[in-house]
Amino acid sequence: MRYLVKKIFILIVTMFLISILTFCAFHVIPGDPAQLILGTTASPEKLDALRTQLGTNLPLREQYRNWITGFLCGDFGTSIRYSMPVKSLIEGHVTVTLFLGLMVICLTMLVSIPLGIFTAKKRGTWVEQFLGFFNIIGLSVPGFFLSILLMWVFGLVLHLFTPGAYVSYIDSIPGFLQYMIFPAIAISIPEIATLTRYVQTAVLEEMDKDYVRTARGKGAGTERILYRHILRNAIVAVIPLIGMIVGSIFSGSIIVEQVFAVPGIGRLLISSVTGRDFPLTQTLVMYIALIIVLTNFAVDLLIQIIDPRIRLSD
Amino acid sequence: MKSRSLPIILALAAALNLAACGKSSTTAQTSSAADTQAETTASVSTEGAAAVQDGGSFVYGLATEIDNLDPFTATTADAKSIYFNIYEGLVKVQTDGTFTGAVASDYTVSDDAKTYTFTLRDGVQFHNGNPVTADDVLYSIQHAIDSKITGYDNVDTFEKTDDHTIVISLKKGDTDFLADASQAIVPKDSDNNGELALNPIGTGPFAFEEYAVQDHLTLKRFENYWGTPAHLDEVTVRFLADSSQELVNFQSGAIDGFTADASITEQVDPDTANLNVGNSNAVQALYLNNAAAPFDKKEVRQALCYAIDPQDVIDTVDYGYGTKIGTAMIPGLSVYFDDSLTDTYEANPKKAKDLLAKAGYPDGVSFTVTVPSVYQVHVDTAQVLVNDLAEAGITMNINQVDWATWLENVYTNRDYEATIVSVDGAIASPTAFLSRYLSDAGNNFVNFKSDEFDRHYAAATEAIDESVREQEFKACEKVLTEDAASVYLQDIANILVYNKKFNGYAGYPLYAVDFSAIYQVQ
Amino acid sequence: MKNGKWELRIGFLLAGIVIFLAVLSIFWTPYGINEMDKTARMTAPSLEHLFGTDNLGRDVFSRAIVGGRFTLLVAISTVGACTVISTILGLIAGYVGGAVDEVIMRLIDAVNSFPGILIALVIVTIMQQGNYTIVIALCVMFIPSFTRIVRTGTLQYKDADFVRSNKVFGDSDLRLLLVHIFPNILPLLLSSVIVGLSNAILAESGMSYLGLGIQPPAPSWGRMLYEAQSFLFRAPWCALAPGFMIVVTIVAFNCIGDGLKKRFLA
Repeated sequence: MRYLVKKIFILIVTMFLISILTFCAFHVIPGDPAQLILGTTASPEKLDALRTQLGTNLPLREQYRNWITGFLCGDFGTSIRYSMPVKSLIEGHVTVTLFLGLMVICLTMLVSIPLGIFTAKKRGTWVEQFLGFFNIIGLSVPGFFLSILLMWVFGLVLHLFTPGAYVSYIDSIPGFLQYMIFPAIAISIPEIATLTRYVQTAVLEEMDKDYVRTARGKGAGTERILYRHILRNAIVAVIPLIGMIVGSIFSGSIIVEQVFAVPGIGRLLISSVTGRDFPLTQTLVMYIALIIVLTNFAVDLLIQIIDPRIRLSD
Repeated sequence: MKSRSLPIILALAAALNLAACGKSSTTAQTSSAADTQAETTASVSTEGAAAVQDGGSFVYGLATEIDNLDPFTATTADAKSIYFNIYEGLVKVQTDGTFTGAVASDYTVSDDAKTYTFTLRDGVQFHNGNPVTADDVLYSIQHAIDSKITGYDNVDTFEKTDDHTIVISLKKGDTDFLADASQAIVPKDSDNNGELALNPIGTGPFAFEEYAVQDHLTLKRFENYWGTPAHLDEVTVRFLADSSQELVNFQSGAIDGFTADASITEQVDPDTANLNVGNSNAVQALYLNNAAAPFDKKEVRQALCYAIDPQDVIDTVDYGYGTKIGTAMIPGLSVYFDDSLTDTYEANPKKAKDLLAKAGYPDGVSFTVTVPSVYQVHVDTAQVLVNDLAEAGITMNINQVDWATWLENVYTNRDYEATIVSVDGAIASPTAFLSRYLSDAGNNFVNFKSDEFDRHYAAATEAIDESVREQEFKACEKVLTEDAASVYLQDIANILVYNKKFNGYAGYPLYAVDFSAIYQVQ
Repeated sequence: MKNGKWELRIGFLLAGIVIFLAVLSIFWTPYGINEMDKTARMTAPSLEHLFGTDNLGRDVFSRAIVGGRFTLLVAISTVGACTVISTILGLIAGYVGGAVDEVIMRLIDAVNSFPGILIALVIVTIMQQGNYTIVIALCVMFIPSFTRIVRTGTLQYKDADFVRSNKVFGDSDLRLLLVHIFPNILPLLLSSVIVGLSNAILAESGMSYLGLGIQPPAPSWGRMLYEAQSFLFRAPWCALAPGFMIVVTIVAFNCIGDGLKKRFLA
């Protein structure tokens, strides 16, 4: 229980720090939202009125307080670039990226765990070398280039989907999933490459442990040992990495959404930063950071539940 | 970190009208350098006009984003090129750059160009089904004045003399006001709080249907349009994140058409695509900060002109498409464009060196050019110029910046040495291109100062007589060229690529993509 | 295979070739990297142009080897700077512990909760783009994971018997850290440095895609890939050359990393 309280406390401190960092970062970049909204031709009176309305003429400390309470109450302000409330703008985009993220996590888990166990079993054979080579290739192709290659191979050569013809989940869920699977693959490949290695190492370590040898000695089939004992350990080895994967999903989505013309939050983030759309950027950054922090928190708890030994070493 | 004044990014884009790679095109005839190639491709698109089939939908790919669809606040060139289909003014621009009546069926201009009288057309409807009344027009004019739309600061009084007649009096005569009268007419009280931004209502051939940010925008044919109705049932604008994705999307069939620069001609299969070659109607130049050393010396600026061969840029970056210019005027405004200035500076590195020595730089000069990274065509131009200038002993370093930074540092704060962009005109008028060189102009980002220029400009704008106007504007251009205000390069070619299933597209001397002319081929 | 000898050999051979080409490019390239030939644009690879030419008629091979120099320079200076800063932070956090540790770790947690590319984007926006802003941006991106590794290592050895006994003999804290603790962390740090180099190369190309990164006309592999994508179908060699170089370099680093790991663990 004390552990949980401590973890929650750390979570709150981290989020607080993130909010301060975000707030400061966007006050270091000069730019007056009032002027951005009203344009060059606005009169000083109009500017002052809007500044009072937006609260940008208050001392920094108060501005921070207002912003953070607004954020906590779900009032994110109005996007400068798209002239619509940040909240409604983000809602649609978050759903898209959320789906993308879930697909990436599923894909990564479903491929890398079996593959990791398989390569561990094939230790020392040419199969391991062969897969290891692909693994390195998967790690070494830059994300945007991988996306372009996938688009070319699956879209223009194999005609499995129409690159660029994004289908909204509102119009058709199967169409949406069919389109999104390809951006998901693009993000997954380097993740799969990383995870497979982790699983492989974890499984190899497990295989050398006494209990596996004992089980073997008792005459149980190798297959059963692998799947009963090792699978569980492989999953335990992968869980701590979920936090890392979620971080990579956001980084990956920033680029992949650009290439595949997917209207998710990664793409929205880029256009909001380049357009100096501060209300939108701040909200997006907080949102993404919150998701990552919460995931890490959940992962910590999950590990506790599955494997309480780790608490001792923490 | 340097302290910078507040950026006014979006609004600036409006004041500046930097379409950079421009979004408009005229017909192939204006592009001289590429005439032979251009005509072979362009002529294809005018053949087969026989098999017009109404209906169908067209997907247009756009690699940039729009800000909003309010004709009084939207600032991006792309928003304007799209809402050209939704809104109409009292008059409307034609493909040849002239104006004809739209919401107004007829108009008269007084001899002193001070009084404009418009007769409203009968039976014009807004997309919401309401007829256009004189009150709607009065509201729109007042809203344009309040929104500081260019030209409307000159409006003295405006009134309806009867339900069909609107009279606008100007403070001083302006033969250009007709261009300003193409500003959108919207329903009364429809935009008091910027509601049109996301829910536009106009009188154009297409009505707004829906908009999903960074995804798509849908337009539907307006059945009660007063003029010739559009051929297509529906137009979808699909927003792509990057221009390099346009071709893949076109080949996959996700989009039916897009606008691109000349490099596309080498990549698109002419059997499946129509290519409408036009000009971007923007002045691409190596803009020099006339207030900063070493460019405060005329000899140094002239040396740069001699060191650079614009034809080299056109051939290398633009595959021979693009029109060489020698001054700040587009060839599309043929009456005002002085083509005798084009070859004022023949490429001559030796002469460049001599001029530099004369200006006190015998060892050459070194400077930094700030280029907006979003426009590959300008980045490539910079790379070609580095080579040209090196031959004359001039070192140019490239500094790529993002668009917002460019607007702030270069355009607003004028804190730069040189830059490469294309400057577009807001309206099809010489003032749109020349007014920024007035000594006290707020958008004179090159810091050009010349009493002679100011004098000629004043004479031109005050003139009622067309020939005097023409002559004085040409005199302005001559000053710019001889003083080497900047190194003028070209009017970049702009190409609309679209599927052979469609035809009929025609360009305008403004940034506009007119979907109503496009039709399906049987 | 034993002790990772095989991996190390291949790794050093490939890395050697890449570094040789990068160094060679300082003194000699077949063509100038800016030399444009508008009559020979987008020509396929031939004996004259080993990797073909690009859209402006520049020799892709020359640009690829010079690009290697820029890319490696960015990667090495990023990882170098990041290692130094992280080592200091990690050693302090781990050794001093308590409030200092909490502050450092919470800050690192916070930075770690932003997507890497976003951090880079904000830094480039704040600092203005210059050739080496990207190094600072990537550095901030990598510091959290490096610091964690050093801190964990420090914690592990802080209470080890040999460190305690030296403390009893009166060694100063600084001496304990530098002479007794740091060398033990080194192997662990080394393998993350190798991984960091690969990641920096990938991150550089990601930044180039977003228009941040090395300034033209100087080539970097990321920039070349980015410029090549708009005419991928017309001239695929423009993308293949830098792509191939990136893969070779990362394979080399990975092999060295694996080899070292096996050697130290054995």
